[in-house]
Amino acid sequence: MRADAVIEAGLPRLDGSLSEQTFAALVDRLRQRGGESAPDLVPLLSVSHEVFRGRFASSAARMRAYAMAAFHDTGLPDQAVPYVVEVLETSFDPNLVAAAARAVRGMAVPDARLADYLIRSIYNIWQNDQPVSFESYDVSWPLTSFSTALLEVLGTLAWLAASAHHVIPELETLLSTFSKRFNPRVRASIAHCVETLRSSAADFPRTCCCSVPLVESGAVTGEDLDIASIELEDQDGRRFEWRQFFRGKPSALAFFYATCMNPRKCAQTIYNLVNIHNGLLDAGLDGQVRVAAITYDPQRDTPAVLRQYGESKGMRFGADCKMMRAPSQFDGVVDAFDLGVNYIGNQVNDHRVELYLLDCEGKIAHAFLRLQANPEHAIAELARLTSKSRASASGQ
Amino acid sequence: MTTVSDYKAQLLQRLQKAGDQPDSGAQEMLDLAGSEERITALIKLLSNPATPAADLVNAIGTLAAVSIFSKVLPTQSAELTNALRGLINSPDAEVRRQALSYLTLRGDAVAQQHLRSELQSSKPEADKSVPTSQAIAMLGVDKKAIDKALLLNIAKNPPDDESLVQAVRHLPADKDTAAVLMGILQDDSKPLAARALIPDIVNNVDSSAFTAYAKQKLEQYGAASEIAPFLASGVANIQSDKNQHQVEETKTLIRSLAAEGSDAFQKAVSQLNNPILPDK
Repeated sequence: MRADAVIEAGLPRLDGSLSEQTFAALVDRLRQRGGESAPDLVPLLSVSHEVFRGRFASSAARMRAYAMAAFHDTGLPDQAVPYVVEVLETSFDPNLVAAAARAVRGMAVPDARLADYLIRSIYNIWQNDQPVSFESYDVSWPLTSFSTALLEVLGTLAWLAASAHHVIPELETLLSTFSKRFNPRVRASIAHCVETLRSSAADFPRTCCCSVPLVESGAVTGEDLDIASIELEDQDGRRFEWRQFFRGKPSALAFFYATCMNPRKCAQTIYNLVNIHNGLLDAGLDGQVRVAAITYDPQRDTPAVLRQYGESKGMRFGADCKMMRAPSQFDGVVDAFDLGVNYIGNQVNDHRVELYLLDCEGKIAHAFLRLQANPEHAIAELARLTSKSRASASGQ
Repeated sequence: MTTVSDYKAQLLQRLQKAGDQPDSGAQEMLDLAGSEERITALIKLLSNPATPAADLVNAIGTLAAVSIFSKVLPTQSAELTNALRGLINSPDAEVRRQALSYLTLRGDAVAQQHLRSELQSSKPEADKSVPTSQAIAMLGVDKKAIDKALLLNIAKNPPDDESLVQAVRHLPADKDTAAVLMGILQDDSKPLAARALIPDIVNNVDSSAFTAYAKQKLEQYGAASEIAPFLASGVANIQSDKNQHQVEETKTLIRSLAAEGSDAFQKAVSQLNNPILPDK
């Protein structure tokens, strides 16, 4: 079905039953409409969107990449920037990284803050650079000429021009120290990028660099999660209700699953949680804050798996530090937190990085989404919640 | 008692000798692995429509061998992937198989999608890029590349015995698959290679149905049937269980049959005495 037919027939059901080709036709149609349709593309970047339900991980990634790449033509709205940054920071999928890099070139004004994320994405994909094409969804292989994820990233760094001047040393390191990790085409592209950044910096010297983060963690005015009676099971097989763990003290709650293959996501999330826990102990908050990680995959992550996984990452299990699963009611947790996760069957097909800080009533007080939380920031917030809790207990 | 240390000097001597004199084949591969020009030339060969099928197969095989240790090949991954994706639809079956095998081993999304489409299609087996059994094995390398529904469909209606074996091998153990798997286990007309895999898949999902079948089968045919060792092993590997009485009865039966059983059966009996600790 062509894009016109999709639009003329009214909006298709954007769920897992939509064919990839119809999805692509819809994206094509929105892309052709230009800037006015950019906001309509933004919801399609969310991993938890209904349209990605029941898809294989690689298909969902390809579809998201196709939608993200369209911002190159429509312009990149502010609401889409966190998704782009998330991909550059955490993804190892060449299609997604290439799409994110292309999307950056849709910005009205180059933003210096993106240069560092683009550099980091090079290290994520340099061992697995792949051919990419966003001209149409279905491609006839082999391509006679093609771009790659690395070439898209380097092209975008060059596009940032004077705004990316500060990453010239990083690019020079790639050429000097890691030269052998790139083929001649990529090496030439890096050299060209360095040259472009140098000359543009000379022509248009950069005057300032905004220090505000592109993806901010957010304070949340918590509402009751309405999951107080959901049953949880910890790494030792002990069962208890949500309220028994998440009420009475502030807590740090991360989401993860043990078979996640992305080292920038679940494994890093748990290492980060361990750092936060250690920092809380160092800050003398032992016994005043709880630390927990709940799996996205309650079927595979049995108590034994949780224990083994947690121990391998240095979790100091105890009454206030647990890994858990919601054996039969995880859907309720997904809904309550509006978690960024999606599935094919009962298997995770994609997810975002998620760490929440809950107050002593179990309400969400702070959310670190998409990028790993800064442990010091999280510890400071938890200390604040602890003080608030003590103050309210003493009636101040 | 002889230990590895007793052979240490001899092993070191052999290693030293091997290090001094790499055979010509190994040296050739080492040279190729480090040569940007030669790897580029091989990839160009794959991209050339005039290259004979035998040369394509050789080139893919060489690149697959070199990929294990070459530091140059990863820098050419985009070019190689582009060329191999172009060979997925080669008229030569072995070229298709080699190209798909290389790509799927590295989780290539295009190759995975191609294989899944064929598994879901009603194409005759002879018209598929690779046989269904090979397609399952290739997709099975990546646990997220093939799903339960697709495997269940194949298990219920396999084009051949080997496809059934591969489908069973890759099916997860859960309540959705247990009934189908039990049906295959109980069907003596199904290949033993598939049935033999099932006890250790279903034993902890539907232990009641599995134990009842194992007990009935062992009572009927003793330890002599081909499936007996696998049933015994499945019973031995049942972890914590609500039907402990039924499980213990079956274990007792298995022990009583040990003397008449094959080596494989006796090995399974020995597992009864070394139970796996329950998954808390």
